[in-house]
Amino acid sequence: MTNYSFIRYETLPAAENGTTFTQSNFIRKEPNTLIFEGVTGLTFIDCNLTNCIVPADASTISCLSIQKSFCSHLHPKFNLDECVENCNHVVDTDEVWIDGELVNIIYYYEDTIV
Amino acid sequence: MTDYYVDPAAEGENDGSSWTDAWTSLQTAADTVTAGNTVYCRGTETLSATIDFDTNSGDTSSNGYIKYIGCNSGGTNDGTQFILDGNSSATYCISLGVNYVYFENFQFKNATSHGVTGSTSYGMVFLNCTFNNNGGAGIYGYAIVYGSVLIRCLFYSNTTAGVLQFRGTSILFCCMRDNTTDGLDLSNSINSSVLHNLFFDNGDCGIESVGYNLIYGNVCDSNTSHGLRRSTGTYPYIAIGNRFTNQNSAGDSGINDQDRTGVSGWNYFEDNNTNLLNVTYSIELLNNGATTNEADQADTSEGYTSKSEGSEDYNLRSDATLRRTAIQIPTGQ
Repeated sequence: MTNYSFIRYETLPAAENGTTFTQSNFIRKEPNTLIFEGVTGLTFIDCNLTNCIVPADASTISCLSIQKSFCSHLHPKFNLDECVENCNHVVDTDEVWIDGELVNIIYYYEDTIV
Repeated sequence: MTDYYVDPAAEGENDGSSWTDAWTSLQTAADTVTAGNTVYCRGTETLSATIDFDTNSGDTSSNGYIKYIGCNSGGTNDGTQFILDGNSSATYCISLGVNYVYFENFQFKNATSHGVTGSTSYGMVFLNCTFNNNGGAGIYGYAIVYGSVLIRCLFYSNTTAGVLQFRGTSILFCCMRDNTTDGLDLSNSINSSVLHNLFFDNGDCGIESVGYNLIYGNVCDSNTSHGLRRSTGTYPYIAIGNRFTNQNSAGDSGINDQDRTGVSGWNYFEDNNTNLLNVTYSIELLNNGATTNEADQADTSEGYTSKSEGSEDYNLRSDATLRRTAIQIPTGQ
């Protein structure tokens, strides 16, 4: 049970072959991030593996295994590279018109499953 | 008042009338039952889509709550949780659009976004539930869900906070650990009571509070930044009788009140980089082992300690004899 998320561990500590991780948080900042490359026989049970690519021979049991592009507008605590206002995470917009003039655009964002 | 049953492995009539003929999906129950009914659930439901609670509410008059209660394989309520597994596929495990619904012994996990989300709900109760490994928060109230209660619940390894934006909520005897950001994030949320909970090893703060919240009797240990931070707004909070320990990275503190409108007192601090940061009003504190301590108006008289009358050591250190309060709090260990 350890919080290995990228906020606490930008670089994961080394793991020994055959290690079993239980109820741990491995979330990475960027999708498709290799973790524990070259380590064999790993088992992940009940872990958060968001944006992780585990070694090919690793076992995962009841883990969250998604690849997600995070929007910086939604996650100020993630210290992500700042998205532009009209980034590719925009899912909807509202235009604000006053006296026939477009004065503002409100953007709605969602993280993207990749 | 009618009892119904949900068992994804049932092979009977699928009419919810008994364990043998249980509904095989919680969605059927959510669409069918009405105020005053109880739904007993057992096993694991693997989700491909969110279960929407948008049909019927409980009420607080003659009929009462709609209750969902997890049971063991024998159909008995012994604390065994009914599992809703988002399976890295469902956006949420459940989405709440109704009121006065009660969940006991449920696990919400592996949703691609929040484990539980709500839009306009109020009066929700979660007892002995677990929210873990979700792609957003464990439970997210959008600062709209209010008047709810979380009791003896466990939140761990969620992609953002354990609990995010619940207004007017009582949070009692819960544990929030190993979440990517905060254990409890009450930003944009006011009027909550946070009592006797345990927050540790979260990626940002143990508790992030806006204000008008009562924070009492909690333990915040080894969170990445602050034990308690009030970051925005001018609303006051009250933090009394909490323990803040091992917030010891540079710049971190037991309590950081960035807008200096909170009131704190009788809290215990140990092994923090700073005990109190930007705190204006502190009635009494014990500082022990901090590198620096900063408070404008602090009475540093002694009198408060985390030892019992029999000198039992409740401090959250590796050498402490007791690491938990007398109330058993779920940690998942």
